[in-house]
Amino acid sequence: MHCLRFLCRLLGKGRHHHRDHDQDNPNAVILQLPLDLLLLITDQLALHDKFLLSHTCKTLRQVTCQDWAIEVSRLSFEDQIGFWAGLAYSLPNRWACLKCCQLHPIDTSDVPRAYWAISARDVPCTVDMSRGVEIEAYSVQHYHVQFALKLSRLGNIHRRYLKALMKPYTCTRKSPIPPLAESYTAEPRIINKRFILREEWKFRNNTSSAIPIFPDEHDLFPSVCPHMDMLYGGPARSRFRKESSIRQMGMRQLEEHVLLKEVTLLEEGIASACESPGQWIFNSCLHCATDIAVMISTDEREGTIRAWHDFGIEGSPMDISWKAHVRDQHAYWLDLGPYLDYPHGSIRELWLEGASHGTGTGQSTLRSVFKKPIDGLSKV
Amino acid sequence: MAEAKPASQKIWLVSNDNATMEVDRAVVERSMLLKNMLEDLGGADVSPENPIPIPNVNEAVLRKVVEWCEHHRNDPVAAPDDESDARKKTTDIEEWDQKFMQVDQEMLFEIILASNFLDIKPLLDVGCKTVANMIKGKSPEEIRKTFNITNDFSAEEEEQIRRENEWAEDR
Repeated sequence: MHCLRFLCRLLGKGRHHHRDHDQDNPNAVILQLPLDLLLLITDQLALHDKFLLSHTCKTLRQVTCQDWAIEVSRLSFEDQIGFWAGLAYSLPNRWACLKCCQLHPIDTSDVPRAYWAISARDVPCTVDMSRGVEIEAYSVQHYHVQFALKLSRLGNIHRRYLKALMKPYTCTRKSPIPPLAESYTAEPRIINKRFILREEWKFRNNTSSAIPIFPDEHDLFPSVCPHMDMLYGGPARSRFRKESSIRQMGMRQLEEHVLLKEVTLLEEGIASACESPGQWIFNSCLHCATDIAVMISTDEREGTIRAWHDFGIEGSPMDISWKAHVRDQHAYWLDLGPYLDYPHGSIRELWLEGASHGTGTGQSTLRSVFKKPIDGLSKV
Repeated sequence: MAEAKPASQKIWLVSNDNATMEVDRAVVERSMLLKNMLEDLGGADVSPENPIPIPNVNEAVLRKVVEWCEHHRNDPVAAPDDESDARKKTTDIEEWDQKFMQVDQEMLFEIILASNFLDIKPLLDVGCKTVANMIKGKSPEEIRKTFNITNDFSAEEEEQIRRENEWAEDR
């Protein structure tokens, strides 16, 4: 009995562990927690989340108080980008720029199909030329992906811009080889909170002459992704040039063979499609999340190349899901970058599954009005 | 030295609203506070008539805490300084714990307070991570809305914050 009384006295020690209640926020239970517990919670947060938390009220500003500029400058480059990308996630009007390592304001005229207008403007940081689709005058940039995903999540802000970002694009032009007609179509969709882009190139022989659909004289073959493109000319010439380049590297025969296979997936797909008219030939990039399909019509008058790209979820431009799609312009063409582990064919399947789900706008009814303390950041 | 007690030995706890509950000693010992006390003092005096009082915790919260301890009774006990960066930086929560923490905010914070008081670090950790996950990726306005926080900054304070944030604007 004596022991138990001692125990009771000892356990009574915690009776007063609540600190004084926050008088301005009597209904906010979180603010009634003692300081040490609030610190345990904020300790779990990334710097950008702490930064945003510090703008909610006096108490949380005190709990998270620090010199943000100094804290950010102490981060590695990758973490700094992560900080800005984290902030941009919560700020409807901002995007994180990899080149400037800071936030930029939204520009609602900046959409993938406005590629030429955007690439010609003075600000050099906004366009990543290496996406490789500028030839079609349609270029999806990281901030397009991020704005589309963010605005889709937020649901009630910049709806017109979201619609413009997600608008399908079609371009029909005359082929440099006159009898052939070409068209390019791009259709972005948000499926399972991922930004998926489907591209289609069509080559059509509208004449009565028997002209190869993928002639070797043709220099403007699609750059399906930074790792599946033609190296001058059509499939046969491109394959020959790639093979010659690889031969000069002095690799072992098996290594040469593997590398050649890896860099000629598009050429191989086209060759297989030519051998089997009417059949889709499927393949996938080994380096970025891109599935492809190639088909020559049974009458051999029409060729189609389709690509499905998965640009990933909301995140940093340093994320591999984006980086894999972007090639360093100064890199040697055989410097293919890391291998991305993803189930081949899954992006095409995801597209087909999500076909009835639309763009995903309206998935969330969360309201996000970024106001008061950092009003300056929210102004466009 | 206190005699070693079997894990199935029963211990009785009483909440601050006088609800007594019978719990296995192995479950009670998820609380470092109670474990140390039982080791130091022995558990012989504890009985249904003389339960251990838990003065800061009401029945509903105590039952939740005991439920968590029951589920995790066989988990290895972490060393006191086992606070690796990896553990601290990830806000991943295992599925059972996620479901366990699907409670209203008042209960969530009561569980955090109780686990802190009873010194149940893994439960405290899960509680703090749950709250952190409720904060992550939200704008200040969304955080206010989530936690029912009133913006109590004065106009002068807002202006000061705006000045402080100029470094984050476009240069």
